[in-house]
Amino acid sequence: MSLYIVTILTNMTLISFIAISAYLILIVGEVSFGQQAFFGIGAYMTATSTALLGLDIVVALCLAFIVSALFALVLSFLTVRLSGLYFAVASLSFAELLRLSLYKVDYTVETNSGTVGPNGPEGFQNIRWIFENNISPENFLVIALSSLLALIISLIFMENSKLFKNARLVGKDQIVAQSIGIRPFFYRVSFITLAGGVAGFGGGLFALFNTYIEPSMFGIMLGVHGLAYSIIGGLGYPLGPLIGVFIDIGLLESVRFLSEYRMILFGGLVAAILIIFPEGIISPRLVSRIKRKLVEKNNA
Amino acid sequence: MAEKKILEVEGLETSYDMIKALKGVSLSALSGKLTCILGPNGAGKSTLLFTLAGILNSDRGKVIFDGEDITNQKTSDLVEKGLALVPENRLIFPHLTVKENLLAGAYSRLAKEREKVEQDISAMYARFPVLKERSSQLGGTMSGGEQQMLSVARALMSKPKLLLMDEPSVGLAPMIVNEIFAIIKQLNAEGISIVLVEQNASKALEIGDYFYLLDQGKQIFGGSREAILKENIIKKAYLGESAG
Amino acid sequence: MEYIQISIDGILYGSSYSLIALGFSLVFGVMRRINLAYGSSLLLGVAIALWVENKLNISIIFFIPIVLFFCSLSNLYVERFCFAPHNTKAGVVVSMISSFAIWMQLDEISAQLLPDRTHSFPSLEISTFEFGGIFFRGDQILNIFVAFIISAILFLVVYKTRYGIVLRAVSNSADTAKLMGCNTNLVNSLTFIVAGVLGGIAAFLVLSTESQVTPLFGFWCTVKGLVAMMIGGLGSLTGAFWGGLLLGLLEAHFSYQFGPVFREITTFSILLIVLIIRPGGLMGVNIYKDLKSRDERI
Repeated sequence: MSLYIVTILTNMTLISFIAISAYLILIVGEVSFGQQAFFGIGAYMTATSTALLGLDIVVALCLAFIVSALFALVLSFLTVRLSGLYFAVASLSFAELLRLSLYKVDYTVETNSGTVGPNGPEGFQNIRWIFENNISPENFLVIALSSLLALIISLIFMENSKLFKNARLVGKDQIVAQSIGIRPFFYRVSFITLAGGVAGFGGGLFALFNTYIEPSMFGIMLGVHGLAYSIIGGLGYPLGPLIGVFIDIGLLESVRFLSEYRMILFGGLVAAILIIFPEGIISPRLVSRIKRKLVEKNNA
Repeated sequence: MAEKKILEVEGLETSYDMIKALKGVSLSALSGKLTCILGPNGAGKSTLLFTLAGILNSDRGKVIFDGEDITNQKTSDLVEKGLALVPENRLIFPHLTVKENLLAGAYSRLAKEREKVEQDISAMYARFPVLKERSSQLGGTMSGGEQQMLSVARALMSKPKLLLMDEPSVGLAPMIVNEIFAIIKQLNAEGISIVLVEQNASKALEIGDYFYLLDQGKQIFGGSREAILKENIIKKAYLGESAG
Repeated sequence: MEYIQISIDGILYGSSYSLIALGFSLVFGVMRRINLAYGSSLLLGVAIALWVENKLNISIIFFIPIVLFFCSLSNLYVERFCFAPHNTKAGVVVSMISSFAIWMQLDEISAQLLPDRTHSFPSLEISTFEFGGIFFRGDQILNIFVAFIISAILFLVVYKTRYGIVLRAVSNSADTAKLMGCNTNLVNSLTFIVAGVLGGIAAFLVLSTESQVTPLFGFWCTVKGLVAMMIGGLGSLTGAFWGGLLLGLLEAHFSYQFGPVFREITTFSILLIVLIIRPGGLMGVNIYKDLKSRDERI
């Protein structure tokens, strides 16, 4: 495989984490414009743990997950009374606040491989884990892709759990959910927190792969893309968000003559897809219809 | 003597939210008469009114209003042709004053006939004195009965030939219901044709001229008051509770 | 004295926010929707106008109407593409996401039209004057004046005319307004066109005080306009005016005290605090107390 293809596949894998984290929040019926910030927190956390503290990669990624999830937990408590447009705007401002605070984080250490540590707008340089451990781009892709696969497979298994079914009901109709004894508060908080953790984990991988991060990377456009992927993919199945990722990066960015106009095409494409499929391509309705068909087939 | 038909519906079929709610309804309403459409919950009564008022589109069938085919026309055109709907639950504009609600009801002629509209508002105030008292109050702050009067008055502001009313008694105290039905009867006596959808069958039987019964999207009876009172089966099956 | 000068500068700068917030507020007031592509449509309108100006070399008198025309045209495009297809209750969030996606598209088209990082923008060249030891920028005085006039006119139109009754009826309940024979589609399109013209005026005035335009203008407009509107009160026209000035005032003081990054940090902190404490905005309804109107409004 050429390096170009490996890089594109890795980028697709990494951004899928944001798309899936946006998907998790959509399940409980909210729209978050702020997942990019948790991605960023995860990236900074991993960079700090590996490059500054010299922690093990597994520990570092777990820390990225936990710390971003904690930030998301804060968001979910702050916005406990908000929903719809209000939640969306609140998540956007929370994310921008987190990102802007990174401009003020300044703690650098001189090592023999150069300056290491968060340095305000200059970013965090020399995240050398890949080089120190001699990880080739192909191997890194394998690591990222297998993490993503593990995440998706566990989500697919959890789809039929009571947790997910109740969460979907909360997302569909809070009043109905409440009337049968489901507490929307619990599901909202847990899904927003989980989503933050997933984004943070992806951000951790991103920091390792990129070896350099800065606050401006985690701006709103990253969030727009992640959200758009999960929206056009649809809420029916955890594979939905990947459809969006594939259309944008796999199709538009990698085809060279299209890539110059990628943002123009993709923005229009999202709006057009939303007209045709307001619930996304793999909508819950489509999934339940397919399931019913399969059951009928089995019975026959 | 053949009376003039203001509304004729032939084999109307309408789907609502992927479910076929009307499965071939045919009925007609005579000019100047009060036609009641009865039936249990989910019989398709509201779907029928929504289709007549152009909010839902029918899949099949025909609607003729005042001799003109109006099937699946836009609501705005229908209002101009003289069809007005008094929706269920009143649906007044809560953040507009009573007077503004009435002005909004005259939407189709707001620009052309300014003075005429003012006159009509005075006429509404004369008919419903409570609206005059509350003229500058926000619609949302009024009681249910007052809102229902406003809703009727607002529909009348468009000078309809035919008034469609969807469950005017819903959620109102019995005394207020009596008052509203007296108003409906009065309007009808003044010559306005009315199609009334109602669940409270006993009240409807007091004032209606013609009756249709809907069940599960189909029309299962049509006739005069005498005819419906004779049909014991229908009474038992559908009017049991409310007719008492 | 320094304190007063900073306050005056802040309030004057805030007039730009007020101008942008008015367009947001108009759309939210009528449609109960948030158009996140608003800033980008204004940027695109400006970019096309600059491109035309470059080709034809026209004077500023003709340049202004061209800006207004293209701003309202691109705003209408957003309405047709992102809002008109989603006019059901479930469409509130879908249309916002759709406008979010179109934001990328419009920004990118503008970037292609304005390939350099900064482009000069015709300035009105109104001089700064001094009064009692405090400096006032003439062009910003003009901004605050125009913002005030526009909000006053909009207020009169919405609350005192028959057209305003129709607007508010659609805003109260689009479905019921349809029953009255109102063509809500047309009302929505007109609202977007008017918001585009307002935004065009705002964009022209703001950019001429800066005398330059960058590709970040769209983002700037959307964020500042949204924040100013949400501080003042969702859909409240007077709220948008005062919200903009308040935002300008607070930003000026915080960035003076703590450094330039705090201009943005202030913006988002205020937005978050207002959302948490009083989501309807300082001059809007309290959505917690008034649960019924909360359902209507979202």
